[in-house]
Amino acid sequence: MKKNIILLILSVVLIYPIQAQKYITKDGVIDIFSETSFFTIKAKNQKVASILNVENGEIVASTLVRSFKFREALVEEHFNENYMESHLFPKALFKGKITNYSEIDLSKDGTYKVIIEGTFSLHGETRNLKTPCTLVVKSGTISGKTEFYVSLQNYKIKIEDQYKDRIKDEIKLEIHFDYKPM
Amino acid sequence: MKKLIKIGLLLFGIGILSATGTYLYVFHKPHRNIAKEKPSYIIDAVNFYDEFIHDEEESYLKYGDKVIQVTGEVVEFNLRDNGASLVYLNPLEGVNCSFDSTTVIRYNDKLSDIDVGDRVTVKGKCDGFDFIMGVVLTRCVLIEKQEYLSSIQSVH
Repeated sequence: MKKNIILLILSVVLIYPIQAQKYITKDGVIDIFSETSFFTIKAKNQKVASILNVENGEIVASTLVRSFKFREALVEEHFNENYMESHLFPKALFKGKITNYSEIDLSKDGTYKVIIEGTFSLHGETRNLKTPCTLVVKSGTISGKTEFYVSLQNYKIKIEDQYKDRIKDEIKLEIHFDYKPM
Repeated sequence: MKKLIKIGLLLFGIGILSATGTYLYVFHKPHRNIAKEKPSYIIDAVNFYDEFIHDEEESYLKYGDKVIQVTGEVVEFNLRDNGASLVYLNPLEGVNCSFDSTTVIRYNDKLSDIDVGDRVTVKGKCDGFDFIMGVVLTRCVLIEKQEYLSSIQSVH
C-alpha cells in the first residue's frame, strides 16, 4: 500500500510538467523586410504576443501595428498613416493550428517541423495563411520560427503608382517566438 | 558669359542643397524623442486600463500614438539585453510597457533596480489594446520609482 502511494505521488510529480497545457510569449518578434533596387524597408516589432496550446496545437498570435519600429522615422510615419492606416486598423491577428499535430510530441525535447494553418487579419482584411514552422522544445520552453510573404494587394494595402517600383507587393515576415509555460 | 557661369553655379549649388535636404529629410528625420516629449496624459495604470475596457475604440482614438505617463504597481518585470518589459495590474491583460535596447543600455542601473511590487512611473507611446497583453506602451522611459515599502508607507 505504502509503495502504491509513493508510486502515485511520484507519477503525479512526474506528470505535472507535461500538464502545463498552454505556452505564452509577450515578447515575440516580427521582422518585416522588403528590398527593391531603390529602397530597402526593414522594421522590427518586439511586442508580439502569442499563446500555444500544446494539448490541441492551437495557436493565436497578435500584435499592434504601431509597435513596428523602422530605422527611418519618415518611413514609419508613412507605414502607419498611408499604408497600414493604423488609426483605423490598429491590430494584426493570427488564429490557427498545427495541422500535423498528431505526428509530434511536444512534451519531449527536440526539433519539430510543423505546418501551421489558419487565418491572418491585417488592415481590416482576413485571409487564409499556411506556413511551415520549426518548433524547438528544450527543457520546458518552446521556441518557434517561421517566415512567409504577405501580398499587400491581397490585404487591400494600396501603394501609389509612383512608388510601385520602390515598394514590392510581397513583404517578407520573419517571426520568432520564445514560449514559456503559462 | 561670366554671369551665366555664376547663375549656373548658383543653380547647381541650390540643386545640391535641396537634394541633400531631401535625402536628410527622408533618411534622417529624427524619431520622436519620448524622453523629451511632454506627456499628453498623466494617468494611473488602473484608470488607464479601465478606460480601455470600458470603450476600447474611444480610448484608442484618445490615447493612440500619444505619449502617456502611467503610474502603478509592478506585477511583472523582465530585463533582457535587447529590451525590457514592465507590466502593471495583471501579467495577462494589464498595462504592458516596453523599453528599447538603447534605453536599457543607457539606464541599466536604474532599470535593474526595479522589483515586482514597486510603484513606478513610466512614460511611453501608446500603441493600443491587445487581447493578450492589454494596453501596450512602447519606447518607454522610466520617470520615477518608489520602493515597495515606501510606497506602502506613503499610503498610510
